[in-house]
Amino acid sequence: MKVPYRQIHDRVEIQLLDDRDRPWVAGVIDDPEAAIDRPWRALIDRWRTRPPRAQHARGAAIIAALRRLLGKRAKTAVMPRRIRAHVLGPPALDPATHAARIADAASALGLDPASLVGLMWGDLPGERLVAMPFGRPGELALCALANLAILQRTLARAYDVRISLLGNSRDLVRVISIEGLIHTARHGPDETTVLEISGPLSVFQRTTVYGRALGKLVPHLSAHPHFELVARCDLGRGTVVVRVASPILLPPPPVRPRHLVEARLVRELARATDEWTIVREATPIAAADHLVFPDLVLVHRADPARRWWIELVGFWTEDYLATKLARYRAAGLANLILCIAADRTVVDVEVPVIRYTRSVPVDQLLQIVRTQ
Amino acid sequence: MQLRYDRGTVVIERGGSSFDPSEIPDVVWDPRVSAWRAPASAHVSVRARLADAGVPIADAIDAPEPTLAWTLPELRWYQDAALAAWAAAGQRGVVALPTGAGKTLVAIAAMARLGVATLCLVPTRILLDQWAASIERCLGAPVGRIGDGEHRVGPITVSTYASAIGWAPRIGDRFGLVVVDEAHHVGAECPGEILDMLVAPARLGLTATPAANELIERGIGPVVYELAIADLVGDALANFDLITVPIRFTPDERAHYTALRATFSATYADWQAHGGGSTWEMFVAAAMRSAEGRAAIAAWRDARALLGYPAAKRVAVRELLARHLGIRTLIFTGDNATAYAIARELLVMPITHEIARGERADMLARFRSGEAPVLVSSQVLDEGFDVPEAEIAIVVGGSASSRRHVQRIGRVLRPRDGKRARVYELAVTGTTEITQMARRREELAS
Repeated sequence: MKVPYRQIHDRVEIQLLDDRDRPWVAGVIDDPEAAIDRPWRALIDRWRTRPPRAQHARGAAIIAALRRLLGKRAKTAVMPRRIRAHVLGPPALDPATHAARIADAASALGLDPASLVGLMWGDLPGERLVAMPFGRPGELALCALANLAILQRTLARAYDVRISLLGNSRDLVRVISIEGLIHTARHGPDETTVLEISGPLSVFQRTTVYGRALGKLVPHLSAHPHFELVARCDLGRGTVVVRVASPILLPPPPVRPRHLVEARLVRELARATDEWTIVREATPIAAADHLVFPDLVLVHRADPARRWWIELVGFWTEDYLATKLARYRAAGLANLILCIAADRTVVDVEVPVIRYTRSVPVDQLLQIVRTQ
Repeated sequence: MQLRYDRGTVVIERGGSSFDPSEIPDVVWDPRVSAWRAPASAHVSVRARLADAGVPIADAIDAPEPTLAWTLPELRWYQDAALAAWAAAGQRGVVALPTGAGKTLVAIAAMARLGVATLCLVPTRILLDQWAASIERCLGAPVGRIGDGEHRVGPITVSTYASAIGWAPRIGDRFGLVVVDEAHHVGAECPGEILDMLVAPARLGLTATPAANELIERGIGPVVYELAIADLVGDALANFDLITVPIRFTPDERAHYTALRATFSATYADWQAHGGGSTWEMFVAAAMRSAEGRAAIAAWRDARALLGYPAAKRVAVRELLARHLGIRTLIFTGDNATAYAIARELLVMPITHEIARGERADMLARFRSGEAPVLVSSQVLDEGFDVPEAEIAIVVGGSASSRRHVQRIGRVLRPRDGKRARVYELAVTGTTEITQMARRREELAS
């Protein structure tokens, strides 16, 4: 899918869909409605030969959204597969052999021959019949899905991305952390949080996986009434700067992202001790001109002044860690514990480090917080 | 200096040294993490340059060398020669052998001789199964598999290209040899970035149809050994006949085809006359911007669909199947829709990427046993599909690509005692199919 955009000199406007697109989008939705009970491949052929009355890339985005919405694989492929196993075999070279094979299979499977023929290919994407089990999709819902795909595609071609948010940025930082994206966070003007994230086209991050991971941020933007996304991208004609700001049509935000290692650590800590209160959504802490986001804070129940900040570290180099530690120091947070995946090389820093594979060893962590 | 693997790259940390690695090709300073970085594929060269400069190295990258017990069949003369040529080229390069000549065995012999952990990259899920089975026969133990719903990494691992894109950043430091099946796909179906993300210094590409491609050269190496079908027919490959079946349109089909071609040709000629551009992609991009252009593209598609399976091809397919009743036959079509149309009409088994793995395996087993002796497919059967029992190929339609044609013919050339394969090419007279067929034959002969 291509990103629909208009370029005037080095300024680029991504042509997202909105309320003004409803008329032609409604026309595109008419096509599957008219093709109900016909194979998907016929509908796809129709779109190939008679594309929507819109800019090609925007039309393609809407068709892709419709296919995602309506064209999911059939839930069960068992019956079509059983039918094929019964019916297909040596070539049926004359009509009588053909009819007899169908009739025998229908009888063996307890179906009438017409139903059997109708079901035989029902599980294959192109051969499946068009259906709208939940009724006709809304134009705006479809535009929102198309916008999501367009923005994800844009980020997949980004060198770097800056997202400015008003309000709680925790969820977005959590997604960034879960996906292992390289980023920094700081306070921006007017009480905004500014997240700067490396894109897949920056130094040796030119991977599809990284681009996909970065795209996972987009659905979470819809939880923020005020945001601005600025990305330096290559959309095919050299480097350009793209700016997208709220309000835009996007699907509702997904459920809160879950950091599995963190969730397991919280669960096991809660089981192992009641001396400490576990704070999961700690307020971001200002450290000079940056923000640090500890994953957990442990607060001693009897002596709340005793606190430990815990951070699960994904990507690091010595310098990167040194900078991070300097930021914690600048914020006046001495009691820091780093949890680093065991498949990373050993690190020598002045704070306690716990190595983990699937889960952080709680006994080691408790030993540190109790004895120091 | 400290070297370590990070998501498809080698991170080079200063570690107290004053040497500047930016002088080494492919190494760049990464300001985000205050360290140097190079593609994982440059690991050996980076290490060598640092050693040459007398820089102490702490290298955390160390691909394992497992102890495996291989049992290999005797190699044929050309397999031995191919392996020797590859070794002489520094264990980097592409071996080009015709389909059916036993390229997989060359790769397995390379794995056994090197004794290092190996990653095999294959284009399709069918080939994933086939490669895993071939290696397991020689190894006597299960191999790792990545793709088709599985992700199990072992000392020898087979992965589809598609799955390797996601997995290479995580496992790219675990292998000493990478084998790329159907290596002509590097840069297209097999993105070059997969090879960049692997540290493996030894690289072996396999193909029946070598292509000049800078990405293949960079990611695997040059062609180090090459034989064509003609070099092995009657020796390692079955003899075969290539038979043209001329097809005539009905008067209605002819009139419709002529009208469609006229609609397309008028727009295409106009575009060329105005210096539109040199590639088909440029024409399509320009055409989609106007109603006339879209009509021309629609006419081109409709003409192709008409050529794909007109009435006379229907009759010809039936006649050929009747003539070779009970003999294992592969039918190749230009698209999935035609493959399904033939499957519906003749109740034979289609093999497409949409058919799930278990069902595909059942279908192939029934084909091999002779219970269901005909398979029809548009692309899945084109490459690497191993059915020595197949004797007849019927090419109902397809692209102008001679590479694809060679692959298709190769499906029926796997040798068996007394076998003489037949390849029928159905081509509609007075259409582009005839010129395409002539061009493919010329290239096959050369």
